[in-house]
Amino acid sequence: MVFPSAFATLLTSNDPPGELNASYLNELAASLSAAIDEALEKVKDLEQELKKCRTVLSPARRLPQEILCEIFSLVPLVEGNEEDPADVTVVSLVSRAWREAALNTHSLWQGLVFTPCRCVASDIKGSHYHATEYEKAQSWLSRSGALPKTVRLERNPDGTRCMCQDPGRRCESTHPTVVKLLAEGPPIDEFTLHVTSTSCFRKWMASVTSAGQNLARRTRWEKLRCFSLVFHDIDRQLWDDTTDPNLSIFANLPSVTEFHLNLPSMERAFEDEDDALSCSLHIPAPFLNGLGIFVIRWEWGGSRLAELLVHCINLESFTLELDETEVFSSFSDPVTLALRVSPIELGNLKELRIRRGNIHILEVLKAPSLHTLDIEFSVPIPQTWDAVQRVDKFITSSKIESTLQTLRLCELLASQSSVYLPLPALPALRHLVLDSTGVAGYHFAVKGWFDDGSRKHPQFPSLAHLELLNLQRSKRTLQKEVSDEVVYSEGTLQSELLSGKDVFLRLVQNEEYETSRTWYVQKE
Amino acid sequence: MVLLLTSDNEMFSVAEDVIKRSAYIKNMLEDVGESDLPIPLPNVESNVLVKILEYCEHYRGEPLPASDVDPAEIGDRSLDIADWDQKYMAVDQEMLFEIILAANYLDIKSLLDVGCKTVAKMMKGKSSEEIRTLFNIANDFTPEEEAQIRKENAWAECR
Repeated sequence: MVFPSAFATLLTSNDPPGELNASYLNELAASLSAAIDEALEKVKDLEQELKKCRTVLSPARRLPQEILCEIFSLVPLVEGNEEDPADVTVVSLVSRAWREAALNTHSLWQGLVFTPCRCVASDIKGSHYHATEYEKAQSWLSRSGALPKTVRLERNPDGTRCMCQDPGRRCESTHPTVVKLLAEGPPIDEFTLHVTSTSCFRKWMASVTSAGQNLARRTRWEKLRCFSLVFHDIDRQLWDDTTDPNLSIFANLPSVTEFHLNLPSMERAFEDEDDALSCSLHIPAPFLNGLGIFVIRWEWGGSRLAELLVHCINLESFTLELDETEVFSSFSDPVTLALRVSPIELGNLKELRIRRGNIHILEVLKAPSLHTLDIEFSVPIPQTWDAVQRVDKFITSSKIESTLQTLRLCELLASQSSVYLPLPALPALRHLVLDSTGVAGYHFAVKGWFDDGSRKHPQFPSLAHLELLNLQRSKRTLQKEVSDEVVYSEGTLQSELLSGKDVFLRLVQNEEYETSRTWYVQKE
Repeated sequence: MVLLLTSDNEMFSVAEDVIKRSAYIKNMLEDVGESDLPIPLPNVESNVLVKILEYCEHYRGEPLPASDVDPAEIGDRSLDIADWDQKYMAVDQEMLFEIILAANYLDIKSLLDVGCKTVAKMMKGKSSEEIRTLFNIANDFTPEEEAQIRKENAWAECR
């Protein structure tokens, strides 16, 4: 069906066709249009056939189970939530092969997060629900094979406090399924409990103890490796623990080796500061003796933290979250004064992290085995110099100059050019992170480092990894500080520094900082 | 130099320090010793091997990871992918999976890891149906099976 040659002249002129010719051409156009529709239908059909072929040939089908499992184990990390059951559902519902691979990806099933149950304690329907829920939880965790299992009982997302003071209301901390799991379920490695008050935690202790009473063996609660207890600052819940150590809420903690304690803020838990300084906090010494890792949020000020630390004789990692609270800073407190003369020695401590603090605690600690020191400062600018000197003195008095391997200093603020880092020479330091330090006057110049031809930094000869994050200065200034020569582009600068110098440099400027900081925190 | 023979009968002559990033080839060279005979790679086509060699060439001279160490075991569970690796992996989906399969066969752990991370990122935020469409996967569940899985997991999602 081609355009007739008899009409060719019409194509090169603007003469309208005669009536007969027009009628013929209209018929021709209609049949051509029909042919096009037919061809388009055919294309659609062919595309369908092509799709079928592609589906069958999809390389995704040839991925062996072990690779699928590896991919699935990474999927929850994409959203940064390692225990999101939604990820499990998504990959499980793609196909039978994917479902099987998901079932074989043990890491997908190793954690369960519960939120408080609002059912009434005496409700039979509720009891039946929890019996079924327990079976499902057991079956879920059993799919994680031999991997360590994690259970979390979180707060209600609506942020309201527990209503257990009301008659007939179950305490949120005594979730029947969680209690049963921690009593007679599969071995649990890590348990996190969120509560709003001391009385809620007391109720948890009572219910888990009671659930284990008729068991022939020790409960899973008693065999935990790690326990995290988070007191929430929902609204004012006064700290209410007894003065009798044997009856304290902490009296029967399981003998874990890792303990995270998030104490409530002072303003939520006490009427005034004096109450916080004199309240009861009786964590048993044998419990503290057994800790290898201790993370504590302490916003109660004073020097009472020392009462805990003196018993942490086996501690290897200690993280103190101060949230700008002053501890060990008084010049009249006799405990602080005594500890300044005779500091607490944590002989096995290898990692010390202080978050948002004035770091006076460094004056009352000695840690001769420390290899990682990570400090997020919270000091007013006029006190920066003192704070840096405190770090210096701690390093010297702990005698770790030749053993400290990792040092991170964060939020060390000062006016430009007024502060440099008067740290001692640290011959073993391999990893130095200066994060949002906001001061000038560093001397990281390549020329300065390698003047003696030894290619070693005179102060940090073992340095292998230097991170300069969010240094709050122009790229030009930073580059001059680092290179001491011409202004390089960042890429060139990095390769210049890496080339033959054996130092990995990571520069993160202000605009990229937020994401890199998140990354840093996650990595930790 | 090491001779490699791909599944489509193409011969490649590769520097030993480049191809030793493959634990499979490295072990074979150690077991067999020097030989003029090519190493057959029946599971790798020439166009894929070209890509694999590009990766090995880029990382030439970098220390080899210990063959028996799984990145997951040493705590490297971040999904960060180096800039160069991201550009390297910007290929069509068929080639991406071919690279993963070849990295698995040749036992190049770092490349396999980058490939798996790339696929995991492609799945980010997608529904099961969207993943099926993305990877041309047929839904072979019966409606009853699908409902059962939803029911099983809904329990965990709604707690």
